[in-house]
Amino acid sequence: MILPCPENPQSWNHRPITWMLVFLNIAVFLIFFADAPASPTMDLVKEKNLETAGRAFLQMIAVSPEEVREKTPDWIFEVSTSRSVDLQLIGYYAVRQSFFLEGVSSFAFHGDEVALAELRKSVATFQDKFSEDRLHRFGLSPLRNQSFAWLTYQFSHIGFLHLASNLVFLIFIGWAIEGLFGGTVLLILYLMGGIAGGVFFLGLFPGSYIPMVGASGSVSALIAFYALAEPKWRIRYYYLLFPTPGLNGFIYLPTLLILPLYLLADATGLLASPDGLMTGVAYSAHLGGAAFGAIAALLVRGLSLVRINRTS
Amino acid sequence: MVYPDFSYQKREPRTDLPAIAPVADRMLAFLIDFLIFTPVFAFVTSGLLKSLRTMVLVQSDSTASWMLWFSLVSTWFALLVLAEALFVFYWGATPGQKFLKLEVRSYQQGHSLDLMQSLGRSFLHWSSFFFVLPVLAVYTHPLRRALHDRAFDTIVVTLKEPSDFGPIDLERNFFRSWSRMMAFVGAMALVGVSNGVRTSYERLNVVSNQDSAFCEDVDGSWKGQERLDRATGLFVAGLISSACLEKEANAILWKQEGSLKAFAELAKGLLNPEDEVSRSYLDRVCESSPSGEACAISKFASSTDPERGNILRKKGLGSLTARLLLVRETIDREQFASAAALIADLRQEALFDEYLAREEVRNIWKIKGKSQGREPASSDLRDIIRDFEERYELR
Repeated sequence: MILPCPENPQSWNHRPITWMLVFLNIAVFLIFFADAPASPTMDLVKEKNLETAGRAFLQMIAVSPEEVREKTPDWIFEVSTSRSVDLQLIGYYAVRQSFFLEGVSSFAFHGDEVALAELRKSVATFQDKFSEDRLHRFGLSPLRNQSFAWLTYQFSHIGFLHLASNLVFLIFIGWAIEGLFGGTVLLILYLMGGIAGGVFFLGLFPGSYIPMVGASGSVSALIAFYALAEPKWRIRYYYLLFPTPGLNGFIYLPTLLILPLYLLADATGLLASPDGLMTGVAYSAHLGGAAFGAIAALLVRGLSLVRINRTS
Repeated sequence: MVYPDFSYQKREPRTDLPAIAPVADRMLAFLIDFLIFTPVFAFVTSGLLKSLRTMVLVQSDSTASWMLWFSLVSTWFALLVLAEALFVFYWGATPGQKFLKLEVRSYQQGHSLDLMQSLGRSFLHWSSFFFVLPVLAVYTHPLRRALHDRAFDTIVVTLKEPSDFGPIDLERNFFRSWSRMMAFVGAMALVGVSNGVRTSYERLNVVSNQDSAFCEDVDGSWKGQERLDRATGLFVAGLISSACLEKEANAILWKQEGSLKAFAELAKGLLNPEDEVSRSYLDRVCESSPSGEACAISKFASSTDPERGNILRKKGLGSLTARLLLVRETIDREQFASAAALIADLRQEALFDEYLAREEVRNIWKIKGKSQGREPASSDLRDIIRDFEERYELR
């Protein structure tokens, strides 16, 4: 195990913007998401509905225009249509496509009429409750044209683990950036990095029904900025190989080495994901935020836009 | 012109003891190398990873899937060996070792490694991870030289002070007890892995009809209405699962039209008559075929009337499903003679022997229960009991 462990604990008191961002994320989670009702997609993703959706999707795609078929991943046409698990996989893809959900009620499917009626009912329920669901209200989605979503999605998280994983990086990297560059720079990086991450997400998944939430785009911007603005700086890490003397302690590793590897893992995640099946991690937003952070770092260093405080 | 001398330069062997690298530093260096190499190699092989992940979703048991797994593991192994070899050849250490101020040197002379020595050492280093024990030898060797170090005449030294003083007795004892345990675990693992490989190989070679739209538990020689009727009958008798019957019904519902569709909807309705969705299927049956036997069976299944058996009797008992359902219903209504006649009629289908035997026993128990242990008054019922006792040689 190896975790970042910054020095000088007393300096934690002098990071108001970092703590404000942390507080906002926690507050939004506790108020809006901690006790949120079950997602309206719950009925839609039941096994029976997914299998029916898979069969229905194959019928719909067979008569769709060429441009729609071209955007459909190749594996959809290679999967066996006899096995239930394969049909559920196609259904899992189908319920994330806006053209399918919007066409289900009117398309003339043939087959198991009872199952198709159940599917139509679930889709109608989903579409009715869609606008009320908190994830869809505060998240960033190509299907909802709400300008405030660009800000609200950066402070929304779907679960405690999601929140905690983002906060760990926000605290440590935010502490470092605020100490060196000030709170204003941190705040601008966080918000603009999140917007850049959102742009990348919408650019790569324009037809997706699933909204994006989380501070990971913003956090990626902070990580990339810190790695390039202070490439020779070393971060203290605590390592634990075994709880005996000699096998645990502190080590200093340069930011330029470790932090970009985190972003390389995101790029791999994006490139290695099967077409059309998102894994729940918005790698595109990470990369968008990182791209913004990297450009900001180069500008700051090249143009000396900000005075660096190396004493705190 | 004096040409440079490229011949081998003999060097005197070293006489000083090298500064042995501590095991903790080596382990930490390995961890740092892991953190560095993993995302880089994953990025380089992202195309292969994507193909593999797609194949795992689409056809996890296919030969192509196994080939992809093998390709990925081989590529990663090759990249690891090459990366470590090149770093050690050019730098004298991997990135993790550089951070911890460690170096890999030739043991005899103390100089840096040549390319073949570096490649060979790296290959053996990563190969020995499959067997674990050769790598753990750093805990017992006095100069902390594992198998790959001894085979290629190398040693890992530290540029820091103080250096390691070699293993203590506690480490040697720890290694001895661990190696005994690992040998036993390794033998078990070898048996498990070889079994797994054999099973996977057999699965790849077996002609399986898992890809068929129909259930493999139902005899493939039956077709059409007969197949669906027998499958439903097998489900009623508890001889196939609900998933199997559902697969049979779906194969008809999603592919075929006509009279079979009503029976397929009936089959889905019988899966769980308490369920609201199943009742929807039963309601639909009569819409597509109001005068068919499937409609009669669906009305029977939906009805709670004590005389619901008459629905099937009036229609005529053509299908196996109807007759099997009627057997159970007739026994529940204590119409013992009718039940015995139905069972005798169904005995022509050897497929349901076990089920019919159970129902026959249930029938006899109910007769005896109603007679409270005495001989039944009716001669028909006495004949039924006598036939049962003769058939199963109870007299």
